[in-house]
Amino acid sequence: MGEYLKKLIFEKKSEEKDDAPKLKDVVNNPLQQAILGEKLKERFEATYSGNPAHQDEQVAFQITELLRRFHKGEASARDLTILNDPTLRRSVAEESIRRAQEEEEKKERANQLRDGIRAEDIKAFGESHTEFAPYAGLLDDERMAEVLGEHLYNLMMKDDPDATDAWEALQRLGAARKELDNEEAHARVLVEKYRIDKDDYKALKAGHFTEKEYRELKEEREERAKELYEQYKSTRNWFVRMFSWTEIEAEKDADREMTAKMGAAGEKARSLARDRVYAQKGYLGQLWHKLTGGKSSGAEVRDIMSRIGNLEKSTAVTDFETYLPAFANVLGGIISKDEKLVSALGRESLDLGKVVVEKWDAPERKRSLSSKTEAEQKQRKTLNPKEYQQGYESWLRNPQTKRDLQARNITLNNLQPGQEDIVKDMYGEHFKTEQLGDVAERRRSMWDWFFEMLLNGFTSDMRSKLRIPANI
Amino acid sequence: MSTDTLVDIYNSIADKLAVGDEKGAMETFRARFKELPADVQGAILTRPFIGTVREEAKRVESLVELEKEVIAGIKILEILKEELGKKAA
Repeated sequence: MGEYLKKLIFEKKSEEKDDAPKLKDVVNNPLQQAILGEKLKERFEATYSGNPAHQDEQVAFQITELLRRFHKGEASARDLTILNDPTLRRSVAEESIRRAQEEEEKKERANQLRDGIRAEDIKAFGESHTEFAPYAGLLDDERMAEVLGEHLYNLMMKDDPDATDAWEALQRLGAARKELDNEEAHARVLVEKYRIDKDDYKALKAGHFTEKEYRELKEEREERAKELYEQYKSTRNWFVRMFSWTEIEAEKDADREMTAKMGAAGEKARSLARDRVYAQKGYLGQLWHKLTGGKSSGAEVRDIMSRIGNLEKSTAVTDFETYLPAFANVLGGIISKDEKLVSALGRESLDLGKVVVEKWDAPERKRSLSSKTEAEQKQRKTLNPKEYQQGYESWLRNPQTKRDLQARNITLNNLQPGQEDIVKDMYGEHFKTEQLGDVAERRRSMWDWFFEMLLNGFTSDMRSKLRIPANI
Repeated sequence: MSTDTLVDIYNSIADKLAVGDEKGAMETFRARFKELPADVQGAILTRPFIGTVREEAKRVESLVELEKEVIAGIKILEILKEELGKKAA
């Protein structure tokens, strides 16, 4: 039938034979058209009014299939009837347009995805992200970006879910970077304004302002200060509470409460370490309190402790690594920007933030923290051999362990040469991360380092003035 | 690239892994990576790349949060200075 119609439609227009039905007879015969049209409509209705989750897909399939056959010259009389139906003809046209648009959009997204993979990111990821570091240097950065870009472009054109994942991740990263740029620009404007504020009076004295202009400027600033103060009251910002806290009695109460909570057997050492951190923070708060006249309560102190506690519980060390130096920088920056603090602490405090960040980034600190943690772990292994052995045996029975070993083609009952060492090393890694709380140890070391660094930034004269004990 | 070469690369890595020589397997992988066709290289790099982009996005988002706190801190300092100025006056 298909071949017959193809000939009928495309080849025999000018040489119709008398014995063959004419095209118009096939497609325009009112009766035939009505019958075929009705049947098709029934089928269309049945599909279209069926399950809404499938209707678009099914209709699209029908129409596409029809178009394909029509263009290949395989259309049947029934198909031609479909095209004669104005409603369906419109559907065919709309579907074609929709598909063409989708294809165009997909291509555009694939191009954007490819362009979004930059050599500088590849370089940075290889240097700072553990997941990507093993692949660093396999190709030069430009080439790696190119290979990834082309691959993801092809995946996107094939509607592969990996391409969607990559697209979403890059969109999220782009949005975060844009927001960071905005916030940094905002901060720069504020800092600049802060500087100009200080210059206003000097400008007046130098004759750049009239008294009237100066008064107006002051009024405008006071208005803004009121707005900001309202904002402060409503948001109860964590920052100001952190620095305005320190009534010694409240601090002691909070310390006692926390120590009691953590006083259970086995927790004593950790509790002592935390006490030390609280004491360090207390002195910083005390410093701020003296200089700003801030107020605090026991509830505020406990709230701050709880926030710090939450940070310590954070699952990723990288979060902490990111947060702490930035925090140090902010603190140093605040000190250096506040004339009262600078005059109380001396000019050397101007560089405190910079010193803290430089020392944080120094390789010696990283090595020192790493070797300290490793030394502690080794010591624990030596001190608790029985516990370690018990842990090892329990780990061997774990289904996940069995799967991990299986993935490496290791069978415990039939160990090959060298495999026993591999198994023990695997447990060593597991022990470090799971049993010893490697992450928690590193965080505690970071806090210790941070406060030590900050307080060492103060001269002995300042320490004495602020009555900071030598052991802190 | 011929299938034989691909099989050879695969075997040279798999043989080392089979005897637990992960270091050797990684060295072979690194040494022969450039021989792989670009689409295979792309396929190997895709998942770690996506995971890393997500991690990086999370890191930048945490910096944004911090920056917001910094801005709030600066604004509050502005108020504190005003108040201190009033007290001093």
